[in-house]
Amino acid sequence: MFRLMPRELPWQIVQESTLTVFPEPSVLSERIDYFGNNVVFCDIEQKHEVMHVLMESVIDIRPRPVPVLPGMSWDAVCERLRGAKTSEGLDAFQFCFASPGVPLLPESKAYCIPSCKPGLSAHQVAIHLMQRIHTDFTFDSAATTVSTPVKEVLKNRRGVCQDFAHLMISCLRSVGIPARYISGYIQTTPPPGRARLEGADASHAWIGVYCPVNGWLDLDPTNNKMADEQFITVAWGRDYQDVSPVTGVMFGGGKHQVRAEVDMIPETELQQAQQQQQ
Amino acid sequence: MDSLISQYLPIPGTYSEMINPEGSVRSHWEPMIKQLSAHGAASISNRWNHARRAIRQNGITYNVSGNESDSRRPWELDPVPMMIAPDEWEHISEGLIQRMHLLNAVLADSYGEQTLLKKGVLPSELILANKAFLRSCCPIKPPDGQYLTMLAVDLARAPNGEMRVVKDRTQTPSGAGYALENRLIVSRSFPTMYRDCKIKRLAGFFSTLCDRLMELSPRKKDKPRIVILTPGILSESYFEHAYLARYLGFPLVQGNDLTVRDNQVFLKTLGGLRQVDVILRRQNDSDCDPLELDPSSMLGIPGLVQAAISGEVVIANSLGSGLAETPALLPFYPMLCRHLLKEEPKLWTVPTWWCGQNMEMNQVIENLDDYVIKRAFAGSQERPIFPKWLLPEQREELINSIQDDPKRYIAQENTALSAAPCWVEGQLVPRHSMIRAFVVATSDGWKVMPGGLGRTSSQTDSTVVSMERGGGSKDIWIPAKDEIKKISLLPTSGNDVELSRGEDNLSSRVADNLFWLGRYIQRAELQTRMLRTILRRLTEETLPDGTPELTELLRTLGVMNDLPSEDGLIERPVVDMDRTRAFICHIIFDEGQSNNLYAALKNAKKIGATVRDRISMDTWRILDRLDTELQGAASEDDLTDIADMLDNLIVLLSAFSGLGFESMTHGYAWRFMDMGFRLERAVMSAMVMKELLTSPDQYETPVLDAMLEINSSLITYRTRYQSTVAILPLLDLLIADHTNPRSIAFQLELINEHIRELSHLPRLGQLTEQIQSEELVRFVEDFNLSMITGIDAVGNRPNLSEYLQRVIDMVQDLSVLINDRYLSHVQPTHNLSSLLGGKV
Repeated sequence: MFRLMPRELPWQIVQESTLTVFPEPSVLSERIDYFGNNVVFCDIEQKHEVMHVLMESVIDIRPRPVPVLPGMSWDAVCERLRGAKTSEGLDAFQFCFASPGVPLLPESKAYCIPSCKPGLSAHQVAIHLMQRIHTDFTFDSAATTVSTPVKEVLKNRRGVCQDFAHLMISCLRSVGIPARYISGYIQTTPPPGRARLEGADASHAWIGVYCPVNGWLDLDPTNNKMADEQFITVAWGRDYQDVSPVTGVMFGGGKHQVRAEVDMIPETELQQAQQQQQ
Repeated sequence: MDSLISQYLPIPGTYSEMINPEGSVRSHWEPMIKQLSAHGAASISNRWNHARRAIRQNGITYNVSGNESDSRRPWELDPVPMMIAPDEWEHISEGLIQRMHLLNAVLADSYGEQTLLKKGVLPSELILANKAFLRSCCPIKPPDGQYLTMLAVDLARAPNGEMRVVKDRTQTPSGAGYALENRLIVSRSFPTMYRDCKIKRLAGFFSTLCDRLMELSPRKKDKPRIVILTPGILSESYFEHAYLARYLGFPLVQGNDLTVRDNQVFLKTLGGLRQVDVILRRQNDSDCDPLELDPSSMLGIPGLVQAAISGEVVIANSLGSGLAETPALLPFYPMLCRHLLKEEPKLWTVPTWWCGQNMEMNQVIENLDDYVIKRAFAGSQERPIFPKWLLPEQREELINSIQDDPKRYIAQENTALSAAPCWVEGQLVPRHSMIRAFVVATSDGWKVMPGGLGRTSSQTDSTVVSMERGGGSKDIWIPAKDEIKKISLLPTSGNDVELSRGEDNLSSRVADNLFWLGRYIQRAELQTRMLRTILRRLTEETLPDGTPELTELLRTLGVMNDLPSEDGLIERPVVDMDRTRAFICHIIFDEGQSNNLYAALKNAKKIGATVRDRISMDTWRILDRLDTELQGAASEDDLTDIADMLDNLIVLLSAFSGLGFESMTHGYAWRFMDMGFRLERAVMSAMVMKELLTSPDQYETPVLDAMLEINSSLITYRTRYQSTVAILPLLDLLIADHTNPRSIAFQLELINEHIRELSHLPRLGQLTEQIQSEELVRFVEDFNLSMITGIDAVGNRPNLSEYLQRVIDMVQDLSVLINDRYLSHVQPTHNLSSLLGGKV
């Protein structure tokens, strides 16, 4: 099951998206899940030693709206949503609770409290928290796996984007601020004067935080920044489990490895490359 | 009547089911009590002892802890039925049907439009923060919008006599099978009473269930394939799953018996994949699909959610229905009933408060001692808390946890349940009781089981009624207002029955289990015969020179059990009896061994439990008695008693083989069991021969005698040869003579026949194991045994040893080939490791 195709958003117009799987699957069906993400379900019956999955998408990316601050006071958000009757409000409310991958721990609440100054808005608290996580935690791709619990990340103070996203979500929800997990792709900037390296862009995870006045704001605790034109949103959910890019079950013995590469190519570069080839 | 009733004292302060406030028997209890009294206490107890034995032997169990097969407890059933007046039952039934309708409507709304949340009718946390709300199940659209095919509701009577709902069971509504079994046992024990009281029958409920499951099939065909999905023998109500499978005639399957291909669900059978149309599941929602539900569950079928979404399979109850049994929804159902159905609720609910609302929480904390505190959302293993029994600091702790996360708690009124009479130590005694009622959907409405599962507390003063905590069960009797219609699940006219001899549904897993059941039974038999041969020599009067073959026999017994024989047990002619006895007891009873008699019988019973829907009740009883016989002698250290036990085991084991041969149809299921049986016998007997015959010493004759005794071929030999035993005729009789049912050749011929028959399965044709098996038959029958009986310079028979080893190896190879061909469909699965969460 794949959640690899980008979502359609006001600042992210998906002109074209295709997913190719090799070997040829006997079933390949698309649907939209509960959170509105694109899901592709596939079933490969024939024996195979390698499976290739290629997702190609042409996306028109526009600047995201400039966030309006401050917004609703952080400690009023949850109560406001409890009475929400709109689809948007109900949708946001579900991101207030513990979920399978994000428990609400006393530790995460304790870590969050210093950011919750009276009078700050939910978005301001989240930005402050993001900065602290970026300072207090070390990026270390060897420290964790996909299933490292928040508790351990909080104790060891290291991890990767997924861990920081889970941690930040756990912190925000534990003080009543709705937060969701976002998976997607991020463009890396090559050093000045160097060419963009193939496959150097990456799959990435960040979070969204909700304010009933100003809506959703996407924050990236790993890079300490608000999401911008370098971010492509694929899917969101309560935590990683809801949006895991690839899940599946294999029949038969043997070990397996997974490798992924991401290329985000600006249209201008693509045209240049095509011209050179001609 | 007076004799039984005069001493019956209702529990003060509780509603008495049987006695009215004036102190006389309520009218709907009268006919039954009159009949019961006519029996007299002695006769009731006597009949009931018979019934209890039947319960034990039929293996009716309830697995308490859910993790140890040994924690299976015999089903507790009380002989006195719970009577409910027909008029009251009519009212209850209407209430139950309304409730089924309501719960279904709530499920449809929650998994659909969520208008209850959008209009603010229901606090949205109850759905959105609820683990039982499975977002991936939203796109599943069950036929006719019926999420629930079956519903179970626990009801209890309030002190004022009103029946009230205590709990709904929508996910895996269990208990209907137990109710049916209770009915069979009680009606068999008191047939006249049952007939004269004109009690409504239960069979109609099950035939409605059957019809409904057929109707649910997405493909309109004559015989849709319906399976019952069980989590397996560790499930607390596995007995019921197997029972229903046998009663309804559907195969009982586990997750790995099924596979999803092209969005369709298939049963893996010996003959290939067979499409499944409807799944009656007894497995929790989250365990059903590791791909889209709980990824850590090993019980599920990857892709099942997708198959259900695509409508290629119908699952009853629909995946995600567990949401409706959320305890926190209880207090909202009366209001939801008015809102969704525009009707007043016909059944009361036990007063319940959800602490997720401020006012309710404060009220609960203020009057804490009046309530039972329970978890608001299902899935928590925590027991109900009775605050009035708590120590002050525990109480404080409870208040803190409620205030900390109030939405996780509900409070229920703590009132005494009504009491019904139970038969305890020869008299009627009141016990608190509850009933579980069942509703099944039909194409145009719903139908209530006229009866149900009564449950009682174990003590007079205990208000907790629970099977897990040692409570009992009762049959529930609803007297009919008019004549009883007879319904049986067997079709009445023979003409429209499609003749069937196939075993289309035999899954590879079941075949594998039967194969091993055969092997373990045979292993137990050879162990028993070996032990008996030894014990006879130890307990009977010995020959003047002692019994010289004992040393060899004990060594061989050690080899059979992977244990080194102990030195010095026998210093001829003196036997060290104490140590020998200890050695033998260790070999028989030690629980740590994997090949001994204890292990063989334990395993046979365990496997027997997994294929209960495939073996007869009598066969099961034998498995049970084998186990009991062995357990009963476990504390014995008198060899004579153990010898008696071994004799009994031989009789039971022979009965097992006889029943298998005589009462199982000789289809594929039987062939697999017999193949296992024959393979084990061939290997074990070659092994024993190799141990006993290849290094002969001066005492060979008694060893040869013993060899014949182990193979119960002594009489055959004597009638044929009328002389002392010699090696060559013995080998001929035990290896090559295909008329001797104990010979290796005999086993191989039967195995060969089974393999030939199996090759008729679709798409199989000529097979490697067929070639191997035919080669093996020729190898054994054509061999010139006189070539290998010679003794070499150091007194051994190296050629015989080599020959027997060759036979053992070839049979083992054959076993592997059979296994590869038929039984290894249960492939290992792996979750795709998903390291794509993000790297930067």
